[in-house]
Amino acid sequence: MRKQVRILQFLALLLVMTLVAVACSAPVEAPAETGNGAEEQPSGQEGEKIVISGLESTDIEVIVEEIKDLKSVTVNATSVSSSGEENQYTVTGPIFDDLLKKYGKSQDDLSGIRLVAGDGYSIEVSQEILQSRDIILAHTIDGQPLDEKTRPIRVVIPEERAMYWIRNLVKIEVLESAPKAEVGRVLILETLISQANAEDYTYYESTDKAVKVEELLELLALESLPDTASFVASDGFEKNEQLDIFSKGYIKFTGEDAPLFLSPDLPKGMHIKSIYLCSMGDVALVSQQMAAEVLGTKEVKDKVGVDLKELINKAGLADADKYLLTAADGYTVEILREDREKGVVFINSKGQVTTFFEDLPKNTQVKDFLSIEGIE
Amino acid sequence: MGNGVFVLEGCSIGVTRFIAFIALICLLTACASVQTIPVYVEELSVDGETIRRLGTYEGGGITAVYIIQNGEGGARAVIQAAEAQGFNDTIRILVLTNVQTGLTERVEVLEHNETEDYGGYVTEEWFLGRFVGKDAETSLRLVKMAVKSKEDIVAITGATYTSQAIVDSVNMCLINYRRIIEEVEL
Repeated sequence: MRKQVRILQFLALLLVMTLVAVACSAPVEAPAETGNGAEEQPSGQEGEKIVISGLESTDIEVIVEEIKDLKSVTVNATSVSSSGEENQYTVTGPIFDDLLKKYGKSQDDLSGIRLVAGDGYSIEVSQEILQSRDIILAHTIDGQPLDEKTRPIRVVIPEERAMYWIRNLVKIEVLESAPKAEVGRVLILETLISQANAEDYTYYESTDKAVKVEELLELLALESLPDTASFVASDGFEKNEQLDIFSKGYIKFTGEDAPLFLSPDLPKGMHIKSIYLCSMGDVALVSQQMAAEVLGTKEVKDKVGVDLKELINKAGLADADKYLLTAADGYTVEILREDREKGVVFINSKGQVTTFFEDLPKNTQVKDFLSIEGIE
Repeated sequence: MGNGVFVLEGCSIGVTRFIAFIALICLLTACASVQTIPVYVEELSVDGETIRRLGTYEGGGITAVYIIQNGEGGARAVIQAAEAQGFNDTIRILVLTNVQTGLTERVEVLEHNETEDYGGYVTEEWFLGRFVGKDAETSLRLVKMAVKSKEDIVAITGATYTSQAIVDSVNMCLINYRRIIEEVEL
């Protein structure tokens, strides 16, 4: 009897185990992973380095652990994204100025730096920012070591936009100060773009039109190319970009955020929206549409457009006795210095950027207005 | 221990019933597990249609395969759930392929943790719509600027990594679909 009971118990147990096994192996869809599921990555790896170039005759390689060994500060800092979203963080790390002191330098000595991330993202930090802000080389954010994509260092510049808060810092380039060239020629961006070959460029949900910057530079036929291009956006945002980066990109001239500098191979943070002004050496490109937003418009004999004098002054065009206006088809006309304020730059019914001068002959109405330059 | 054995022997019928009860519960649980159809799959069927799971075609990045059959038993669509590594985390998607036309009819993102201003656009209809009407016979290719051929999918601006993850997982489903069509009598 006892033996039968044990056999029965054994069989029942076997059945239970079999059914449990079946239940567990049934093809139920696996639950979704939540969180990153990975173990916390260390904030730095032994031997990680950050390169500082331009500070001494040769590049300096700084071991990240050396940076971490500097005296750290902890501050609450707010980042503001380009869309205006604000996020507050508690960041900890040494300040850049303390690192510079090791090499006998100070932030105040520098005319500019470029921060470079591992993914190629880079941004120039102006002398104005260097002289007014602390730059924190953060190794801890909100009490946590940096994650894999952010380490070894995240740059934090409190009170400055999030585009300066670069993750995965790999290089700091100390920039030489270059005298600002005097602008000798102002070109209308819309007319210049109309001379180039437009390509489709899908930007989020819409397919817009864009031209290669390289082609625009060829059209400009600059005698010598400067190292950087300086941008001013319609919201006042200013940025310098290395010309070799700019020249590989596109200007999207239709749709949202146009004129927009972008490139399929550049991180989104390096795009420049609503370009109002772009200066390269002695040439400045001005968007008539953005100038109308920034400077406002005036009406001259039912022509509503941007005041010519203000447009060229804001672009930095040097004063001259006379000015030469050129159309895209090569047509040119001269105006006198005192006629500048009589002029308006507007978009005609055919969509062409055009000039109109009150009380001046009709030949000063330049359709497809391309450029203006001073002549003696 | 001896006492334990004694007690078991004394209550052998009760214990056997208890074990049988547990076994029944397990059996029911197992059956229920096999029958579970996720809501997101059920929502894609209409009245009169039945849903059949094809467990043998699951594996790798394909986490679930279902066939929707119409009232006459013919297959209308193959639904596959798949996952791939996005920029931040695993992204889970669903791909519905119309068996009659051989075209993708719907791609949905079931779950993701991508960054709001970048890969977070992955759930937008304007992006997922780019996959609709694609021939299941051809694998898709991610491009960054503009569509130049029918297999091209334009990446979300600034979110190439996330876009690539979606294209990869859709391609995984398309390859699996081709295998199913060839091997299974639908």
